Amino acid sequence: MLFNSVQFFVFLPVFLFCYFLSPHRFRWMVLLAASIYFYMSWRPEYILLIFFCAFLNYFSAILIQQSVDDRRRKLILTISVILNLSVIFVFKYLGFFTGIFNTASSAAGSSLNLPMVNLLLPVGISFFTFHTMSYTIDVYRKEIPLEKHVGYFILFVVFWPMLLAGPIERGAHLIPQFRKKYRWDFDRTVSGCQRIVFGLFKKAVIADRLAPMVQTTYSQPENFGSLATFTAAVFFSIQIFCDFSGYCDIALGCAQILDFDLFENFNKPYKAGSIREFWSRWHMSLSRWFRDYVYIPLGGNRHGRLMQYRNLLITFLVSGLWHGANFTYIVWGGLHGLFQIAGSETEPAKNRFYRFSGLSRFPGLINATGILLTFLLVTFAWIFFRAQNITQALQIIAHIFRFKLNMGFKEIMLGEGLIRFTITIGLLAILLLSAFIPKKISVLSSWLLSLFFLVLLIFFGINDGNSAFIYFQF
Amino acid sequence: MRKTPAHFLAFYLLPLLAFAALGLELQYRGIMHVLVPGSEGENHQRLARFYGPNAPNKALTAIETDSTIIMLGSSRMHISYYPPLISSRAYNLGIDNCGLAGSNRLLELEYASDRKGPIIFNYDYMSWPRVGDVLSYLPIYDQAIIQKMLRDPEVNIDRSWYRYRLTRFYGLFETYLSYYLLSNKAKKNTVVEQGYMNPVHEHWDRGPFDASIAAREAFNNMHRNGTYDVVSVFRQNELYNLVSAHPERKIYLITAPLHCSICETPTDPNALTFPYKLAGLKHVKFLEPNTSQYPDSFFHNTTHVNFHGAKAFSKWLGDTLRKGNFER
Repeated sequence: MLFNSVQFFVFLPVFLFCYFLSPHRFRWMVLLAASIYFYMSWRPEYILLIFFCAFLNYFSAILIQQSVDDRRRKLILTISVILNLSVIFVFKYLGFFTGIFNTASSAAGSSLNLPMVNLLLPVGISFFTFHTMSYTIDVYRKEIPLEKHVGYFILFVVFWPMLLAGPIERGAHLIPQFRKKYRWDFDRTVSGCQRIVFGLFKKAVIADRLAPMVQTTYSQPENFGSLATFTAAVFFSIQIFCDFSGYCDIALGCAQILDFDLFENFNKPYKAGSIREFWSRWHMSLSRWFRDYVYIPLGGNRHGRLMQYRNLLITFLVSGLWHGANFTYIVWGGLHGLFQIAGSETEPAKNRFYRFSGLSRFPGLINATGILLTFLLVTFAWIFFRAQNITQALQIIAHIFRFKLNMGFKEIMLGEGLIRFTITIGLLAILLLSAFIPKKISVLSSWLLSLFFLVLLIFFGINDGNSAFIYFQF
Repeated sequence: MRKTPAHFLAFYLLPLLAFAALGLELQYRGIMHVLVPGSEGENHQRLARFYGPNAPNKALTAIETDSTIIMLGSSRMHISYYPPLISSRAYNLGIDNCGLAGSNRLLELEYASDRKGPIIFNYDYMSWPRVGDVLSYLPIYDQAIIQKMLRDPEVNIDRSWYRYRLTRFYGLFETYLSYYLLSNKAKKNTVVEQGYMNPVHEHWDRGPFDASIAAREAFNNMHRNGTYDVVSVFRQNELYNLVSAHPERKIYLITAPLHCSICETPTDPNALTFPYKLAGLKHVKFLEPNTSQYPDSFFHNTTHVNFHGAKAFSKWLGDTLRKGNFER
């Protein structure tokens, strides 16, 4: 079920009605039933896969807890992690690796070809496997207590606001909240509603509006000049931010109304002055996951700079692969790793240059340059993320750097009409201004803001029947 | 004072929802009453003009009732039949990409109207299970016949947003606004008259035409073994039953001009015999123009004429209808 569908706007009030009317001890059941229904409304049979992952980790954690022998605990954890990764491998990567094997086999002159398996990717698989895996690892590390209540545990896996595209939660943070008694809070509910409306604005008004412009340019780059292709690349940076953060705003807004506190996933990421800072502001729950379960176990920054860079690069490459079974994602991850390494390496030289040139007296200018440079680097990497394959990505980059500036009026507007393009620019200006809205505002201001975004949503929302969230494919 | 859920509902949520409903209602009214009537030449506007709740052509005088000629069909209808040369009371309602799945429903809608004049129905030798752009039908969405068409499994559209009046035009405000502001009448070199709409090119460009000939030849070569696109006998029977149930309205079944290269394209025998079956009904006349004399410069591609071709064809059709000179 999409957050921006008619079905969701029927589901939400019905669910809230049932949830608030039921006594506290039955609420988890209502929540569980709603979450299962929420997932099953997409493809009912895939709920079995979630149950498999949930029970696998539930019992693995119990076995780990019961074992006193460290080797046995480690063995159970290893089996559990392998099984979790197998699920994700079969559904997400099997086709990709079979393709690589067959290509390599043909190149080597062998006639050995594996049959291609095209399984439909279960929506949210990368998210719920990471949820469950982190729980088992945390129990193994004795960082969280074992959850014996099977209902609460399944709820931790399928909790509907975060089921399809995160934020990636941790057992220690979310499971205790299922036991907590709900308390009504006016300000929290108002803030939740405002967040939902703002999330819908970002998704339906901005992201879905930019999507066809980006699509037109990426599918026929030869028809567009350098400036138009660059604009499309910048528009994709805005599109993916509005798409994913819009989803997170709706998810967190719904959770807020239910008195749940989920991890924040975004903190004005394009205000980052460096790639390192960008990753502390973008998809924060995933960054934390990779830090805790990949980067630090690899050694983190404990064994010298060279090892730190190696670990950083591996983490980013794995993160790229996590996003999708395509070389484009791996390159995207690798680029971010390299940018971060380059950033760390050039940091002292940069500081010396600022002192030497006297620029250090203008911290605002340095800050603005950092933000602009970071945005351009992130946008460059997004080209690989958006492209269908490496060839297309290179084609786009070549078009940008060809500096072909002669172009027609229609080309400047990325294939859109004058009216739509002008409205789009106006709406982007509103989006930019919305970044200055303070977090704490009065109820009346909140209401007026919600009304304002609601009006924009009604008159300028896009409804072309093709508005799934980008991160649902992961 | 402690703020309760009742406060939240009364002072926050319900007013917000009320404004949202008002906004959607304004959007609906704005599109239905301001933007649709203003955008000359677009499908939705042409259909609303004849079948909409406030259709200006609904209030007909006795003369108009008897003499208005409604013309239905696909893009070939829209682009080949230039109404001013056929009759001052003819109106072109051809819709791009609309096969019998849509044309049959529009014919049904026309039969349900007060008009008694003849109907010109363009007959295509191929039939697709399509109704054209679904946005065309939004202003007349409430009509039971249109509902039936959109529920047709062949049409296969996501109706969730269109089902409810308030959300029907959600996401389409700018689209209709563009139609309105960039009215086709205002577009350069575009003829918009009596529902007809076609760009006029001063110089005929051989390039795109030759490309369409090459595509046609490739298509013909692909079907050298005698295979052809099968037409829907179900849709043909549907049309036959519909026409035979309304003997009070004369039907002119006409084929739009096609380039001679299409003669080599294998055609379903059912498609070839059907017009003669339909013409067996007393009130149906079947006309097939002799377009072998049409120069290439009359064609946009192998299946569509350009404005020059449309004028030649429409003049012939207008003369034929006026003289009542039909050759079976």
